Amino acid sequence: MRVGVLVLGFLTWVILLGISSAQPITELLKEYEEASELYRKTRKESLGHVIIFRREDLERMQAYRLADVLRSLRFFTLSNNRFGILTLNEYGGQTPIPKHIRLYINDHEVSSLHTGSPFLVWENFPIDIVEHIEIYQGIGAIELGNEPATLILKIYTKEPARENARTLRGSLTSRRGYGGVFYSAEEVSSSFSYIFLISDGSDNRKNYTLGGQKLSRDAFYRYAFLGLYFERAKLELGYGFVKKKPFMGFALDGVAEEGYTKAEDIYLSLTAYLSKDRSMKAVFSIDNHRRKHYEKSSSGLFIPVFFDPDPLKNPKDFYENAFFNKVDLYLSKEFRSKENKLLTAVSYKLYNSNIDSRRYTRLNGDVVNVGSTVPFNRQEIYSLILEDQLSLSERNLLIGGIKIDKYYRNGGFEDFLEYIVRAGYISVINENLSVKGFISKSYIPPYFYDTEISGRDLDPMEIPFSVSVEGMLKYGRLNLSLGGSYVRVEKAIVPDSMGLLTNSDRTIEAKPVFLSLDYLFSERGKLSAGVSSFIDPDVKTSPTFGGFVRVLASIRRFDLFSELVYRNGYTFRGKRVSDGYDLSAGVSYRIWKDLSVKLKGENLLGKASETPYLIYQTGDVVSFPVSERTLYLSVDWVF
Amino acid sequence: MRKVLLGLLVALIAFGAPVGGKSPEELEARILEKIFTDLIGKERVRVLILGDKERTVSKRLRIFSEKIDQVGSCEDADIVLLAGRLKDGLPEVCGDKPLFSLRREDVFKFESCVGAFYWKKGRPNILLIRERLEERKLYLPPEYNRYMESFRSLSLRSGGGM
Repeated sequence: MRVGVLVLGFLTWVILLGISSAQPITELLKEYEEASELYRKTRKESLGHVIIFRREDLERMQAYRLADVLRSLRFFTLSNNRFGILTLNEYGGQTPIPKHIRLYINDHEVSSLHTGSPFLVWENFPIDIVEHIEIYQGIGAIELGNEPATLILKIYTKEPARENARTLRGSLTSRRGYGGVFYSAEEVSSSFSYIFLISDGSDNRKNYTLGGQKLSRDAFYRYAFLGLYFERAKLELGYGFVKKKPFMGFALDGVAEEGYTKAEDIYLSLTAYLSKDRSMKAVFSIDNHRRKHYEKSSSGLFIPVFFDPDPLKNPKDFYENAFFNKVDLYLSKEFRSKENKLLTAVSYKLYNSNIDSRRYTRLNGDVVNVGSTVPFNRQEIYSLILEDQLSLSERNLLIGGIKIDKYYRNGGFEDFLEYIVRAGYISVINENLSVKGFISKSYIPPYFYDTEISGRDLDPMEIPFSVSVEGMLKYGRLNLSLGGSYVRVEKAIVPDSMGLLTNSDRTIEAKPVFLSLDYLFSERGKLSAGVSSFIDPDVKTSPTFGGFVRVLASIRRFDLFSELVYRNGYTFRGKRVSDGYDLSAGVSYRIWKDLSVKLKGENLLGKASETPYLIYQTGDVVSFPVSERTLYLSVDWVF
Repeated sequence: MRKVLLGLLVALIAFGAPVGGKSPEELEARILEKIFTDLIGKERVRVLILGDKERTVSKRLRIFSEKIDQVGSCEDADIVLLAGRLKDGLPEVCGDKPLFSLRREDVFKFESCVGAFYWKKGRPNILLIRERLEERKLYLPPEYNRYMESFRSLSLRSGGGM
């Protein structure tokens, strides 16, 4: 009987194969489109546990900025910090500046040279130009030669050879915001192609009133991007500008009455492939970041490093103008054989910080010019990277890597040597089942902002041990992932009783678990859902459990989407913050092949998870969502 | 019945998705092969490849297509495939041969261009020009109907350009 079953199975397989070779042209074209998707080339399973937003998903979700895809991200709650800047609060905690998150535009890291967070400038970078987004949750990923991270966001711009078009988008929001994006991408010849983007917009949010005063976090932004691609080299130029209202700022009463944050990033990245098979690569990049901040509050400002026991000596306004730059050199060589891939790389990074002006006015009227609060303003990092991927068999991959970073710092700050070690295992048990797991040791260094705002040297935050596993099951049109991890953190950089950052002597443990699924319920209909939680979290000052459901569908000329994101309620300094239900939905209609009109709404129920803020003066807590109910109307024209 | 179901299960689990796993390069070659054999109506088609991507495309078709015979001149070709830009223009002897391009704009550039297979807005497209196919008495099965366009409506929509 067993032989009979096998023969029958084999015959079915042969029949299916036979059918495939006589595929109609439409099917063949669809298969070609799917097989050609860029993420299949760029996705690096070895970097960690990956979530991918494909182009089709991004288009149907009407994703215009990063927040649109980060809202549902497991283990995090989308929030704004006191300055109204996007952040991701890890379950249970408050993370005003997410310096452990790295954002890449293609292969270039754009995280802030000042704070380490990428969001101040790049929050509104138009997703229009993006082919797909890869989100890696993996501590100690080293293959990219990046600064240490626990979360890597990689956005890939569209491939010019597949675009051959110009696109114009205009958007208006129900809160009087607007956005305009133009991009052009084209393959000019077999050895040259380009992509070019400019965009401009305003991100208007609802204003609140606190103690009779207006609280605003409206922002204007502008971006440009140019990518020139040659046979053996590529050059990319990125520019981002933002001007924001200061929201609560440092104000004691929670309202920065006047002020702004202006920030500007510009970078140039040049990559040369030194060998024909592209196994040897040299990258040179320069980044420049400029940041101006001014704020004023008649109640006074609480800036821990300038705090004085005499209330009249505390600031009522504060101004700073600072410049930062970075030079990065990276050289890598990959040695490939049938069973093995060894990556070797060296890199050199030079960071400079220049405080052009920093002053504040005391409540008693005295003006104090402070300049730098620490003598440390220059840092060099020499890195050595080795990563080996060994195929034990066709279906089993073993990964081992080490990155050694030597930091040289000026101003009498201590030099240090840190390393990341990582081992991983990926096994494709059969076509339907695969597992992967990683063990690593890593760290997160302090950034200029951390030492400046604290006026003292800080040690890196250590992640001495983390382990993660994920199982993936494919059953017909259903993809299911189940995973969990354990992370131990020591010397976390946290505020002390005076608000100055310091290395904590407490050990923090996190035990995240998740379950997620994708189900194709029709040819162009997809259901995604997931739940995630921290088991027995150390702190509970933000949600510790969340989930989402997203439906994407296309019917004739309509594209539809709806997404509900849930985060559980919690208590922050005695204030109860309710469960959050963030409902977004959208519809697009193709008037002609190249012209679409789109309508989208976010926080439609008005019940999205809120972020709590402490009012220093009174000890009260207020809470606001990232955005209130907002509608977006957009027109998209391809020509 | 149980045996049939078990057999199906074995086929599905052991071989996963047997139709999957083809590379984009192979599928690209298969698509061109299918269009050309259907267009010319022969089991094997003689194709001349021109353009600055000639080497890449020629290599792919050699590896993945059994039904395309590459030839060195227009006289010997059933159809001319334009792969990329033409540095020195189209050779005169190719004037009466049907052209098929990997760039959409060639449809507007060459009157003998009967269709194109190209990427636009991140998606692969097939375009076939109805009048030109009819003129040359090239008939395609109904599965191609959705890719047929009349040149007149196409140039009106594209403003005569791209």
